[in-house]
Amino acid sequence: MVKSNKLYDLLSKKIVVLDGAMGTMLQTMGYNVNKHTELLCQTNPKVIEDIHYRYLMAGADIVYTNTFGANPYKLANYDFKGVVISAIECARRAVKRAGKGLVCFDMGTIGELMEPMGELTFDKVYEFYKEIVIIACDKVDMFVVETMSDLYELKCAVLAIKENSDLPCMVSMSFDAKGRTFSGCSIEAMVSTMQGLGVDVLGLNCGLGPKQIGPLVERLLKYSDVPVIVKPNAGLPVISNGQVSYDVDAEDFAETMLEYVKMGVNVVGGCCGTDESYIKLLANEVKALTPSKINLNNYSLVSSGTRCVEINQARIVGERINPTGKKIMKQAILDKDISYFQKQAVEQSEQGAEILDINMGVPNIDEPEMVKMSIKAVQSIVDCPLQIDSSDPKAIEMGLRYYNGKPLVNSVNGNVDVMEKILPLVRKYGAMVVGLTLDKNGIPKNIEDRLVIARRIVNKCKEYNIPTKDIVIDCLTLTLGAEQRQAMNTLIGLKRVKEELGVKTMLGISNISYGLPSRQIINSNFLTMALTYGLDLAIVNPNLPEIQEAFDTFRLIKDYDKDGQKYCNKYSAIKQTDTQTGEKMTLQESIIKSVSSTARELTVDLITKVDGLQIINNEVIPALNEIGKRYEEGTLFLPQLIRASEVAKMVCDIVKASMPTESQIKKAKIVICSVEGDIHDIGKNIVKTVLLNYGYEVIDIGRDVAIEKVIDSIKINKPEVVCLSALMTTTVANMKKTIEAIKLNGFKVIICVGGAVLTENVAKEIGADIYSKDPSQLVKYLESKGL
Amino acid sequence: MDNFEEIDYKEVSHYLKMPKLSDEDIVLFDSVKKLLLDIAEPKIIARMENCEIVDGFYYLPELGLHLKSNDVNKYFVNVEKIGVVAATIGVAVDRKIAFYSKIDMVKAMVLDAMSNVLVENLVDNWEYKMHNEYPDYEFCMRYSCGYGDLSIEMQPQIIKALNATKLIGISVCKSNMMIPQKSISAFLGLTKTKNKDEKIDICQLCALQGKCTTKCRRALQNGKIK
Repeated sequence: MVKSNKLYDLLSKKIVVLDGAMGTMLQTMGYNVNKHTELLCQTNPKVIEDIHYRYLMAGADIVYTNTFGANPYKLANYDFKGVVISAIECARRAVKRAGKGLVCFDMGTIGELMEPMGELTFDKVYEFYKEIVIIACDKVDMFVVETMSDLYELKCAVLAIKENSDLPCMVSMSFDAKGRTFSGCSIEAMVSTMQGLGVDVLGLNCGLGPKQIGPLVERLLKYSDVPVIVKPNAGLPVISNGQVSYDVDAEDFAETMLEYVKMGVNVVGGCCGTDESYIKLLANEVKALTPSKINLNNYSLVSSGTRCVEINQARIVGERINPTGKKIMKQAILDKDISYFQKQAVEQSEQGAEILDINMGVPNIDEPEMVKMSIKAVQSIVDCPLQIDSSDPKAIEMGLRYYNGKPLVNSVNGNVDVMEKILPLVRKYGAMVVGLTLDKNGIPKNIEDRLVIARRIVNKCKEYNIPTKDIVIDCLTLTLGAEQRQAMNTLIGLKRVKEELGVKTMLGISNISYGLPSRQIINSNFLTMALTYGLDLAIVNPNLPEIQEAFDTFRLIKDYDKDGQKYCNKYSAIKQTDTQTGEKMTLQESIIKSVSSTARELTVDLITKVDGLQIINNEVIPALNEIGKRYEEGTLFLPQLIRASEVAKMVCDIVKASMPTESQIKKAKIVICSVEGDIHDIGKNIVKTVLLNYGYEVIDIGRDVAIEKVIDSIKINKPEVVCLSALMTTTVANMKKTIEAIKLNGFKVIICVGGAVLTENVAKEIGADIYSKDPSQLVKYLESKGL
Repeated sequence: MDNFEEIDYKEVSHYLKMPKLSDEDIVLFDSVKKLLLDIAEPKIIARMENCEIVDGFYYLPELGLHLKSNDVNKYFVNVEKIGVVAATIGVAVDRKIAFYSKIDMVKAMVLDAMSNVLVENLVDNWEYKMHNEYPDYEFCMRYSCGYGDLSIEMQPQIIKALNATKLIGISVCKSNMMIPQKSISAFLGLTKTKNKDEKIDICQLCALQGKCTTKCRRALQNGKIK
């Protein structure tokens, strides 16, 4: 495969004009565009060839092959390979006839939603695109992936192109007027991710008309380091007598597009509603203009699949998804408890973390697999960009591949062999990278030597074409308890690497207080000091009030928090007060009335006086019984039931912490899920919450869960109870199949079913042991069975 | 009428099976409403088409949709036009419900229930516009696939006929459920001969007839339940 320079030659010489819509031309000629128009490449190739030819003669420099929907998934029932080859031949013949032009192979969405919203996996989608690329790569001049909505799917396509051909790659997504795709991807998230992956041209197409996209084009040009493509519709769609037309004529279209070219757009074309007349006028308008020079910008960006975070001011990196010093997290990693990772992610995000650290470093586990699993789980629930934290290059590569967006990699250090293993991965997947100022000799004691290592890292990054804006240096926090003099060296080093090397900086704050009393006092003050020395990324536990207060105050003083809006909202808000303040209550009453602060105070007081089991038996259990009774009577409702049971759980947690493990009450283990085909999970989540609050051990294996996965989970977890949920009548059939499979495997479990369409009779018909109309009824049943 | 953002707390509490709201509940509802209106991306696509009877069932030739349902025939009396609509409040709402399910189940439940009301508002607004555009017609109740004997397997056809994936971002998964989850597709029958006073007992169509504990919104609006 030889690298094609034809696109670059064009881009250096002129404003590149692309073609207009294929569907619009076919529709005008009377073809049904609701069917697979790609098939026309085989059944009526002359028509397709003529359309390409007309666009070339109108002034297009590049034509897109008629292959937007030609993929192995959409054309599963057709001669997919034959269609692809015929489509390329149509474009090639047109180019030959016109005596000019380049052929760009056009790819669109595979046609079904990807995980986590849909069912197609990353690997499957990658394979679909790879199959196309392998067929087309020696027959075309470049690839384009266009009209995309899901950044994850676009990443699959780009990786398939990059890993299986040497051809240039253009990408464009469809945005709404706010600059988001239907799947929520922002312009900045797209630009940072795609640029990182090394696409040659990026931009937008379809979705809107030329008049609506001005602000979006500005954002594209601001953040992009590569040429920008703009290929809008001929205005907004108007439906009249069942026919769709667009409200901008060719003249207006060309005129508006000219403005964008003057702003810096170097590649233009038309999408839905445009035809050769639009392209002709457009080509005429731009032919005298020279392409704008691409200026490399200095924005340090990380992103998730939807949200981009610019490191232009201090940001919090949440440290909780990391087993170091955290027994529960370590156990969660060993148990592959993704639900726990997700909860930690949501809590940190809610408390202000803008990037989340993901570290699965527990001995004797398959770390690469765990990194993949945890990243998929976390990115499905929060929109924070992630930091892939590992010393294992294989784990880092796994994380980089399955991550949706532009991540931060933590870390390399001054050892050349470490950098040579990890930096190529950082380059390939386009991440930001953290460099630690240590090497085989350890952490230098003086500032100058730390700078030497930092400089070595920056220089090595340059060798791999990793720009300075994507480098973060961590000068390493040493504990005051052992290395008191090093604290200031760390801060001064931080300031100097930032000023002298122009990189971003990071520190793990909590290390400073290790082994000392009242750690939060030291941590919060050290955080403030580090921020004043220019720290960009603080790795902290964002859930701690002292850390939040230090950070919020710093942001207020630095004027990052404009008009102190966030500060005032957060700290002037009247803290939620218990409605029963001042009223004397028993612990039991405080649980029933969901007065958490009183319940906490009373519990803390009681455990100093009576046995823990006594608290549970005399206060918690009667309270839960009373809540259940009131719920059944209809004097208390589901939200109150949940709130009260949450307070009960909090009390139990406090009590448990004070009891020896062997004397703690153990309740049944329950596996819960929504059955295969059912994507609804609110009901399942409500039941899970109540069961957890009542002290059961609940293993949530998710929604739309395949039968085999349910069986595997029962084998591994050995639960006493399996709860299955279905909301739709159509998925009750899968519930039945799941129950049959459980029985066929001979598991001795109680099978409980629930969901809007279930009834006592349906439950019996499908073989369930029990139907529960709500979580309270289920708890009552389990307790009656002594579980 | 453009009441999209007017979320009726009575309807929300109805979904939550909460017959009365405390002051604390109202505070929670207000904060969830603010959040929801901030993240919702309402989008709607609709077509009003002439229909004909083919093989005993309503057929929309322009869209190629065939409503093979005896229940539809029962409630779409002498219908001449059928409106087809798909609406969504976007994927960010689904994500936020999942987000709060991890740390605040009550908030997640309220957000879920309120989102149902919001997406219904969107379609109500469209229906109201149709009433103004077609003043000479009587309107049959809105009818969705999966209801009565109108198969949910029709869902992908509706979404494809309206080009709703490309235009408003609704996809259909293998089990024919729509993504984003807070989406609606529906048919609206227009007739010139229907008796205005005719009351439709929509509960008669429902698979949960006689066992219903959830009580759907339409039944609430029609005064079938309180």
